Amino acid sequence: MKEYLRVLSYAGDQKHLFKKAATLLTLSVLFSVAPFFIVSVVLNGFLSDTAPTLLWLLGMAAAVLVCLLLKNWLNGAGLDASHKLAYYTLAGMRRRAADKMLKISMGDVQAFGTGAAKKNFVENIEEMELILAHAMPEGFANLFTTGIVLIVMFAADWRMGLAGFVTIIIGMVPVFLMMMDGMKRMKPWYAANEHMTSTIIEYISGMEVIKVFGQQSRSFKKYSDAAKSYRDKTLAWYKACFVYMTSYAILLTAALLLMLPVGVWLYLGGTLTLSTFILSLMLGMSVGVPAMRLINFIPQFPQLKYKSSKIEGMFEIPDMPEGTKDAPERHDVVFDNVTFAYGDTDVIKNLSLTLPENSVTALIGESGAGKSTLAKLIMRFWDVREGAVKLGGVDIREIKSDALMDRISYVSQDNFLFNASVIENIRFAKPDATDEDVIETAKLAQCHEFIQEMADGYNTVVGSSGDKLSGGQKQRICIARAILKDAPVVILDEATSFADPENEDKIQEALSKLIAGKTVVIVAHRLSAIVDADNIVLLENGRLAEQGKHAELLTRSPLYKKLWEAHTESMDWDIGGAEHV
Amino acid sequence: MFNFIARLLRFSGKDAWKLKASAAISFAEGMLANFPVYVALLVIMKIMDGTVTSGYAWTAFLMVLASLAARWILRYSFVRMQSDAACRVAARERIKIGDLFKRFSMSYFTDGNIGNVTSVVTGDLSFAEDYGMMKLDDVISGLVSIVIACAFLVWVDWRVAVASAAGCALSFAAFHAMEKVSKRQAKIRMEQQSKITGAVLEYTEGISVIKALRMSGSAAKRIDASIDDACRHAIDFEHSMVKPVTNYLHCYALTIAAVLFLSFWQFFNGEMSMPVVAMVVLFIFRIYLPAMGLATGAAMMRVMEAGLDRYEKLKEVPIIDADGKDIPLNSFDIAFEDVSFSYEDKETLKDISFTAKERSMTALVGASGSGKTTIANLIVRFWDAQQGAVKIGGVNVREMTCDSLLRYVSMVFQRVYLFHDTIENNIRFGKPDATREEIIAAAKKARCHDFIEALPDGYGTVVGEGGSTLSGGEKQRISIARAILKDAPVVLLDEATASVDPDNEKYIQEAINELVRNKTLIIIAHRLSTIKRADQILVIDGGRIAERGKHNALLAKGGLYSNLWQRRQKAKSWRVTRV
Repeated sequence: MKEYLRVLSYAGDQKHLFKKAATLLTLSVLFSVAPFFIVSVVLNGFLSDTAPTLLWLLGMAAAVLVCLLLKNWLNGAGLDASHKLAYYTLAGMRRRAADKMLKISMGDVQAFGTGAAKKNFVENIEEMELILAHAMPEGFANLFTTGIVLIVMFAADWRMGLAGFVTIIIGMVPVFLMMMDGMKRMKPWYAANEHMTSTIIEYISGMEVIKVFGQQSRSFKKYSDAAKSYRDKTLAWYKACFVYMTSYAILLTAALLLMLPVGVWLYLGGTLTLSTFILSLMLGMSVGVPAMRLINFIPQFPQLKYKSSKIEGMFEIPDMPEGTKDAPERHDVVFDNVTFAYGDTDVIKNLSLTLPENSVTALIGESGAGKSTLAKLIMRFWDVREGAVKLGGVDIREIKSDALMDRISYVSQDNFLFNASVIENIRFAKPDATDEDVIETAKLAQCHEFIQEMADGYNTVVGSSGDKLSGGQKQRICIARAILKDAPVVILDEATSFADPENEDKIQEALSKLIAGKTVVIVAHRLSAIVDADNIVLLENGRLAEQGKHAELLTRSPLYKKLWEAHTESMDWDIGGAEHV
Repeated sequence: MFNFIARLLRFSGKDAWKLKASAAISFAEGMLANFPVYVALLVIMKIMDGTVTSGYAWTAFLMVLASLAARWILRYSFVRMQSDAACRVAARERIKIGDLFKRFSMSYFTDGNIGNVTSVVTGDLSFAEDYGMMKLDDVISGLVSIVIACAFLVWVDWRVAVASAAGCALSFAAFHAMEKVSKRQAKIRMEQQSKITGAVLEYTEGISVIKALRMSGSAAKRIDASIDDACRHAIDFEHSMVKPVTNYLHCYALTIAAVLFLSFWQFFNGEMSMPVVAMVVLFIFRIYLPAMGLATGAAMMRVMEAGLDRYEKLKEVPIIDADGKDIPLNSFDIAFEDVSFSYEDKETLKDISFTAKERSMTALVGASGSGKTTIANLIVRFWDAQQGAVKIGGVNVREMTCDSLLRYVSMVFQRVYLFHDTIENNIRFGKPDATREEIIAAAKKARCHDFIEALPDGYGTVVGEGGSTLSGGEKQRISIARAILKDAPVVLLDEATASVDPDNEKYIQEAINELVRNKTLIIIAHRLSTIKRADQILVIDGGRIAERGKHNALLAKGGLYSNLWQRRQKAKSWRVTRV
């Protein structure tokens, strides 16, 4: 319950809907029991000496009708309010998650895994919807009903109320036992469920490989075994639970078991009228079903807690501290004795490096040397653990993040386009750019030609849904965006690779336009591309191993020489070489 | 609703009887649940004619207790039977569809389809399992309760029964109206759901670009608008259901009030006895409850129906090699004879003819979208050509099953998929009965032995979901080791375009050399320098073979190929220079 109220705080100023929903649902329950009293009054009238009139009977029936109609109406309005509350809550959570992602560092977003972030943002919140919007409103309706009917039952006649309540208390015993025992057995079931899901996913995702290697029967066996094991585990779990479930389902609806004999004794004792007896019986019979639904509703709370804690794990990631300074005038980048750890492993160790304004610096090294990480530190993907990264002499942590981002263009292999038109995609970099500016940029980035060939030209919508752009075309649009942004520092993170070999020359031309006159950092695999760099920085296990020009390094560094040779060899490689005859 | 029940029973196949039987038992249990009311009635009658004694309290107690015991047995047996059927049917269908997947064309398993199929098998089937079949008794008892109510009231008084029947008829009309609204709304709702999912996905994937481009403000506005939109539509959806559901419930309110009034009136006229009135009063408020429950049950059914639709659609996916045979091949030359192929009404390949001799190397080059990948796909029957024939060793591939065909072909894709299993087992996938020595030999050839040995558990290291704990280059080499172990006479190779570190690159190239030695090799080449020694190069342009020949001859010709080559040479010698 506490969990629930805390989750509801995401509804913000719509939180008051909780009170509204609770009030409406409570009133609805009151109106659902009111007819019992009316009927009991009628029966009392029948049993008394004064004969009722037909008009009076009609009035009573009309009163029953009004109560029931009001009950339905209030119930609908109550559920409507609680659904609203639920959806406002979900929207609040979504907004909070969206906002959080902007505030935490990109490194945290990445570490959280775009996959995990997606799962949180999309799936977990959607699953919350099932609980919040469907289970909770109906669950609360049942809670109110059970509570109110019990109270009314005691109010009608406390002894009869007690008699009905006792069976409910007894009915709670199997509920309790099931919680103790059944939940224990839930674990293997849960494990089997996860196992089956992951086996299915693997079977389907790996089908291409499975077929290519003719492993259908072996993989299929694994798959069908998982399905069977899930079935058996589920049945075993059910088998354990059903004794309890059956017991409480029966006991909770068995109020009459004690109410009848107690009623008879009380009647014989002369302290209970027949009409009150019947009224009590009616109340007793209507408490069971909502009570049972209430029991089924209880497990939703731990679920809610589990799911919300997963989402809130993300909310607890600290925001990236915001700087206060404006961006400096100069655009040289300095790594001042930087150490950076990713988790517990140091990725960058005591590294000092200067990237003068208007120079090209290439970061190279074997896989895992820390090249890409170093480049990303300039953009505050993460903050360094020790030392400082400075732009124009100012620690980048002290610069306002928007101002910092303004100074840097980042182009990688991961060419992300928004689900918007081409022209908008480019213009995102500079919202006030004119159409002419955008087209001019597109020409520089070598994309004008292919954009014009598309069905709607610059207005063609690209992005996640059904795009037909090749990797290289997307990359050139991203480069156009960066050219339009015209930031003084440019980071090319493996952007010079073979994303689209057939059009590589065009991509390169676009890149040349982008880097003209900038402070450039290149993370490169293809060493031949960076032989003219002003400074080549060779990283080895997060340390700066060597730096210098190509010719110097070739003579001075054995590691560089090895990489260079591997590279030239692979550039000239042809299949078969001597072997294929 | 009746259709739905019938469909569910059909779906349950040989377990349908269990569902039917459990519905029958559930019904009996439901009837028995009314037994205490009869006992109450007997008690009331005794009270009214003044013959009640305290001993009768005990009798009533024992009677109710006996009914509870009987109910326990009935209820236990029907929930057991019902869940047994549900689990068995779901498992059986999962296995059945899994068996079918094996026979789907490989072209079916695109990224989009993989997601869909997975959600059908895990999501939709589970929903049917948990809610459809398990709650079937609710639906059936809802329907049956209406019949029982009317029958009971006929016994009470025919006028009362007519009122009840009229009320129920009215409720059917309301139910129908409710269904109509929810069907229309459900569609809108589904579209909205996928819209918000899409918006959120875009936002999450693009977050670093959003930050880099300082789009925080506009992107936040965009996503907030999507969130608000989704919220509003969800609220609208629920709101639109309030009225029809309330109307449906109002029908029963009317019925109850009418029945009560008529009973009172009959009593007033002296045509009904007090115990009967008491009985009506005790029954009337509970008798329609199951029918009222149908309002929520109906929503569940719709979700499940949509799921079943998706599931059954999967079963209709055409199987490409249904008429293929298992034909052993003796020679491995590949021939295309006047092959034309259209995909979704677009002609992708036109009159392609060529022969790749056994143990020769054929390279396919051309711009992206030219059709070179399609040619490779036709060899392994990802699709079938509409015209002409593709032959391996003189046998038309159409006559073969995909399985028997693939026995002779190794493929190295751009997309590498490793199983969540040990490295050893991942390599063994190429040949299940391989000894450890063979696996190590293949790993050595694929240049992965060294890095595998350096891993904490060596060959026993479990690779993560989709192979995520290894670098791209390492994964690629393991997939090549797998293909080397398979040792198939034909190799289809899609040259990797993703960039890897120079050290990795070199190893991958060495591994590929090991793989293609003495094979009939078809390579989709991107870099051109790779294929200088190809026995024939086919330059594909707009779905046709524009040029063919060896590297030097094509260069001398000065056509498309030499143009491509020159562009590649220029790209290769590109250097980052400051202007």
